[in-house]
Amino acid sequence: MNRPVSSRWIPWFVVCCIIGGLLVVFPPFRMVSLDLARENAQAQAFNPHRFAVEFWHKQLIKSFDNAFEAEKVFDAMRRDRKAAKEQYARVVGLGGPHHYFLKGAGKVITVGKREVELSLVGNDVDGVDVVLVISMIFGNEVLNATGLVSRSQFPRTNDFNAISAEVNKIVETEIVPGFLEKAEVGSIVYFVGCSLKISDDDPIPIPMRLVPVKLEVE
Amino acid sequence: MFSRIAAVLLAGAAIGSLCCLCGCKKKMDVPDSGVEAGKQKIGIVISTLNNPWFVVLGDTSKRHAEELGYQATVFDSQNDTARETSHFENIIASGYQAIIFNPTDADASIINVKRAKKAGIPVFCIDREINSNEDATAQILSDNYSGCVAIGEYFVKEMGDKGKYIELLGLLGDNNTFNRSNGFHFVVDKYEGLEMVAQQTAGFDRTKAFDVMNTLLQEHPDIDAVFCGNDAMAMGAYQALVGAGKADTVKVFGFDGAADVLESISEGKIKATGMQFPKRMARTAVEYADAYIKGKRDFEQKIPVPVELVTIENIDTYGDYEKKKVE
Repeated sequence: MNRPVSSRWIPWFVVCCIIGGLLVVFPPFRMVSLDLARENAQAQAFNPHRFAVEFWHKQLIKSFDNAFEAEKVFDAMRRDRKAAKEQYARVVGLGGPHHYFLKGAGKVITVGKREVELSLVGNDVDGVDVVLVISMIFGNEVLNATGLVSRSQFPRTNDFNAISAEVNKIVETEIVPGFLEKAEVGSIVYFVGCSLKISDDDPIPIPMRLVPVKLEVE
Repeated sequence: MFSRIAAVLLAGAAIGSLCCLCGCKKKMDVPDSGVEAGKQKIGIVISTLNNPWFVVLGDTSKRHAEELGYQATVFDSQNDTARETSHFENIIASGYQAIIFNPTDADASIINVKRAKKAGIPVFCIDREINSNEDATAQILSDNYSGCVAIGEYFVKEMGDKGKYIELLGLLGDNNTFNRSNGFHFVVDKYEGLEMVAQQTAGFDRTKAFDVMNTLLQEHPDIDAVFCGNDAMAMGAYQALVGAGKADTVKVFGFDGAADVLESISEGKIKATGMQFPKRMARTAVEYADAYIKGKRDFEQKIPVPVELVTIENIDTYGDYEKKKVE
């Protein structure tokens, strides 16, 4: 006995519904507008500005206590430069330059457009011990001196360099302007800073040129 | 029955002959390196040997590997990733213990490093990086960015904060091209008076740089300077300026520390370059490979090698791709 035509199609109908339902729940592809796709790609791409801001607040500020006392390092350097480098400096790469991560208190000797000269508090004479670089800050000094971020973390070295550029911008736009409003000759400044690169062939680097990462005027 | 056995034997012989032919072909692809029985082998794959700077990189690696008791062979990729892949296939098939690698392309070369890693062969990249921090055993790379920051600062000093200039870029697939360009621009772009009137690639090649510069000089005859991403291009650009009668007025800046550019700096023809120390990179990579073969496994992934600014003021300190030793 033959079934009616309508009842023969019922199982096929059920199968189609199940497949249709599965396709809705687990779509094999999705249509996305080009604009949205671009936004998603940008959100996933490496963002050096975001990295630099997070680095500053989550790592760098917490590391200020690890900076060495400038006065102690300078004394050690005057006694035995090589030993001071071994004890306090951070060497970057193969036989490369080295950097110091220093803190201290200094009296402002001069305030220039690009640099501020300090004499360390406690010095008998007002000689310049530290030069703070406050504009046209270039290079990887902050990352190199602190060692908190390594090139090896990134597939592209350019990402590491881009972070440095952003960190330098933070120094120039967030640290320096507030400092310049208050600083004048004779002010006492509490600083944390990263030295520019120093080569073994250079003369003893005092006064030492520092990129400031913290500046407080008393 | 007899005919069946004969057929099987014939088929076996045919397959055997084919295998032999394939084997012979593989062997013929490997450059003749004077194989010495019992010696361990290090393969040195260089992006191109058309540029003397890379010849120094390859020769120093080979010589130092031989000094350490290895048999070493240099493979020239001729800036062609397909040729580079073929070299890696040969090296893997020929039982080399380590590879010193100067990649052709930061992205396209990754697959070759992965293949070697899968075969258990460590790869030590020199001078040029691959866009991966988990495939090579270590990458020993010039600090191109910092080197070009220094060149940018000297450029500003020489130009006096204003002027028009052209930039010649290297290979677009090589990260060094943009690490250098970015370092230079990070400084120079802060000076509004310095205007880049043209930026074009010349593929790190002297002849291309000569041609590109000739064309650009037609469009921009009033430039004051040229910044080139390597010394080969600096020499090509300088030759074009000589041809145009502008060599005395246009300042040329290069990067590498090549012998002919050092000579040109001392003669006042070229203003500055960045010394990259290819010999130091090559020797270190070979020593790392030797240490790996002897059991060391913990290597820093990316090791920067400092680049030093070379100008007329300190030219006497440098020579032969190295800093002169102080007596």
